[in-house]
Amino acid sequence: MTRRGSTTTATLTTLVAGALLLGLIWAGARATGPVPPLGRLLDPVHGAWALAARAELPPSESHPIPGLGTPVDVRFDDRGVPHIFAPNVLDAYRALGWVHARDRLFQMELQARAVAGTLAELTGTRTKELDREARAMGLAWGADQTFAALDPQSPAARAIQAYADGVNAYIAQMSPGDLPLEYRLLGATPQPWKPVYTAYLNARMGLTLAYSDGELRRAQVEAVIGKPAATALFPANAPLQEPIQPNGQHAARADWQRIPAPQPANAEKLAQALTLDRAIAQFAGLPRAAGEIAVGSNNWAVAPSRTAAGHALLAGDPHLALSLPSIWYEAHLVVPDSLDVYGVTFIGSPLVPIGFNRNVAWTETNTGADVADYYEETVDNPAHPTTYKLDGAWKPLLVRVETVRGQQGEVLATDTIYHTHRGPMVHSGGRWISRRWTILDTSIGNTLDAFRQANQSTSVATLMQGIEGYQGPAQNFLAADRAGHIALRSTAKYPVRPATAALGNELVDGSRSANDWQGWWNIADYPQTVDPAQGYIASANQQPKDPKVDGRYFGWDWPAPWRAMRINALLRADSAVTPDAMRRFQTDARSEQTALFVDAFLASAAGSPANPSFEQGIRELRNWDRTFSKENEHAVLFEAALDELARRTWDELAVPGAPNEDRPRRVATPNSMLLAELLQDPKNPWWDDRSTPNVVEDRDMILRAALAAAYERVVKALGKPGPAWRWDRNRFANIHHLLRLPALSRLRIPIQGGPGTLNPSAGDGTHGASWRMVVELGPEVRAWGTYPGGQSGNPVSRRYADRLPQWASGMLDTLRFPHTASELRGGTLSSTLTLTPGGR
Amino acid sequence: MRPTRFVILTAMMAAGTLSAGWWAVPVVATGWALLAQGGRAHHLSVATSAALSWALLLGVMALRGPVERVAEVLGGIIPVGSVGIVAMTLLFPALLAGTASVVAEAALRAGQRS
Repeated sequence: MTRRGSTTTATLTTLVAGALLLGLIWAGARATGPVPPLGRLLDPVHGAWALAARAELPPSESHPIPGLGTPVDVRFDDRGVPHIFAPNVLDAYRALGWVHARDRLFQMELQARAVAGTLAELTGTRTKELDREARAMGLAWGADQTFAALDPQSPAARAIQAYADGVNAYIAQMSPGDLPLEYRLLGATPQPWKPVYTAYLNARMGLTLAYSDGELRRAQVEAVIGKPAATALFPANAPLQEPIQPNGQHAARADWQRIPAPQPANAEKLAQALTLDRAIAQFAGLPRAAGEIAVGSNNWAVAPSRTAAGHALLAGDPHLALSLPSIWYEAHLVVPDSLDVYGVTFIGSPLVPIGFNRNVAWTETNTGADVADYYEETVDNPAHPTTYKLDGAWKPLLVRVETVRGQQGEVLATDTIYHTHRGPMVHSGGRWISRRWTILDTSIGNTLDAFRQANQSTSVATLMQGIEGYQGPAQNFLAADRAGHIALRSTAKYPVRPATAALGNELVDGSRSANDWQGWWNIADYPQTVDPAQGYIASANQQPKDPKVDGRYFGWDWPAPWRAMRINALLRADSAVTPDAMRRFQTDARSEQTALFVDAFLASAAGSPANPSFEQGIRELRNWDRTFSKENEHAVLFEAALDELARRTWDELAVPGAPNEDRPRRVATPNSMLLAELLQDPKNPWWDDRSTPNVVEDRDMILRAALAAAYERVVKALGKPGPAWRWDRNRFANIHHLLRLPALSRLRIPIQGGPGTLNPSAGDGTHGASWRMVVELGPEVRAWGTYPGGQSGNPVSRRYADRLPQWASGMLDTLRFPHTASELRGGTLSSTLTLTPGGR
Repeated sequence: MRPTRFVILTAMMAAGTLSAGWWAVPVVATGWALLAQGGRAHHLSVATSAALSWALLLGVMALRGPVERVAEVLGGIIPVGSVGIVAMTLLFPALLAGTASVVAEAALRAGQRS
């Protein structure tokens, strides 16, 4: 090669190398599309590999926390649960904040940002719309208001501040190797924890548990089928009564009524009602599941008179959206002479909402009361409103300008939100609609005070007294104590509605203040019971009070009470309940709805014309033991048959003019309790299938068609009846990571349970029992529990998802509840953490 | 490159990464190139040294925790598999160091010519 050629080659090599070097440095420092900064990720010391060194708890360590009074001793047991022994309550909360941050820092920040509408600052433009919706909802706005009103010297404010101090102490002393994986993937670093975030997360639970947009959907239903049928299909009182507050009956009571025939759709009303879609989407803030809610929560308590050991027993399993890391974090907080509480804590909050102490155990299910109403407002200028009309006068609107920013602080969107005195408005189909919702003015101070007093209660009576100030989301607080008392009260702020808008399920005229809420229910009127004669209490989100006992409006479209009926049946049948029986009940494989529906399918066979698929389906259902156990090979057909039945029955609820797809969009779907009610009326016009204009179908014709279609559908999907039909090959729990990264998720987990069972599973399998607990209130309190996940948010840690196998199998761990730190030693102790005063 | 020099360079790469992070790799490679003034074989040695230094650090990390689980998780996210993520972890410093060495040496020669 000539010298010139050699020089050219060298130059080219240098240029290529230079370009590659620049590219590598760029890729090392900055995210490129979905690929995270490679240098920060792959660095074996400071990058993601460092997660290995943080995977397990060190045998012992010590860290300073500013503001701590004296050292706090934290002992992690063999399940990774911190037992925090502190000299005072505030130091206990500081320590809890520190361990929460160490184990779940990314989760804390992500959840707070989701409420604040600042996700895009962390994750980029892909979450811009979520941020806009969150800000339009006003959850953070409401929490800011109530937090600002909190007395800084109040116990709640001091608890929140102490907790935040602990979180921020951890963040301040983090080394690069401590950075959670998710931050590395996003190329981000943690932000300081603000005390108000605790209020944000409480508001977020309000969205999960106490949100309803039924008025808006109901308006659409009325436009499609008329008011009489809409009222019957979405009733204020459940037609099947097994209330939480015992009504003296010893079985569920059916109050079946005839469902009026659907009226022809009102085109003008329908067109207007469909414009509410925008309001529904905007008010909800986040995508929400349509149709029947097939999950819920259960809790029950048994008095000593009906337990084998003569001690009160309590069980709780709140059902929520499942995620990794889990929403819960187990902890035990001990402060001499004032606090000794074990239970699950919310990440981002210092207290124990579900748990037990040395005397009392408590747990909650969602009440489902209607605490949101919608008002059609009159504004001066529909395009740019400045005032709204109230009692003939124009009132100024509160104007809130919300700016969504991206990762570099750039402005992604600016929205103007208008508020009346009721709450934020949305513009939908030319109408301005406002919402009054108790969650927006729920005080975090009251919530934390209630849980603080529950944590320190000494009896059921003191617990119930302590939670009187709890404002929401409405919960069925169930408690049991060592003295053998059991009690439940559905607690929250419940609005007293005016006579002009007594039912909270219709859009209200906002131009009259007389239509506003008039006050709040008295606590004496709440659904409640103390030591009922039946010897047990059970709640599963069913209508709390029998309307024959108290006819006041409390809510509507109550979930079908299948789970409540099953718990009550199990508890009635067992007069010597053991803790292990309580555990078994939590994953019981039977559903009370199968009796009604399977019998109806079987009865429809009488005198029916021969149809091979139907005959096969009947054969399969006859052989079914009516359980949703993992190995069951018939439940899959039943579920398909119910789906086909609903599809054929509720065809009148399809949106007229919508594309004639296989599954046309329905404005709403009545729950299975209403389908059961319709079964009592074989000739009801609702049974007629509108797609067959020359035939008028009755109940049995539809039942037969549904079962035949279901059989064909299942055979097409899974082949002839056999192992492929096993429930555990078709129904799974799917637990996604918070960023929905498959590698960090646990998917297709076989579980026992189906629609209407105590361990319900439905749809995409993303909801389920988020925590299961059984407590025996004997001379020494004993408890068992588990949740679908693990204590650590580090996906590399064994503690990330170590409880999943137990959870999926329906087993519970024994919860360690030591009196002193020294009781944890040897095999029961995995790590000792000493938090000392000092540091920045 | 002589074995002793190779060992020293590898130790410097590892120490640099330990103290300053991944940025240390191109910096050390550049400095070494400016001092040693080698040829193509030299650049390959620098690259190999960088990969080896990170391999050693990974080995040390393996003594402190389950790096195989990190590989599994990262390899699932990226997604290149466990082996792929280990290969990336070794290839990344090798390319950084090798290219930095080439560029540094070229710059040095250009400086000497002028």
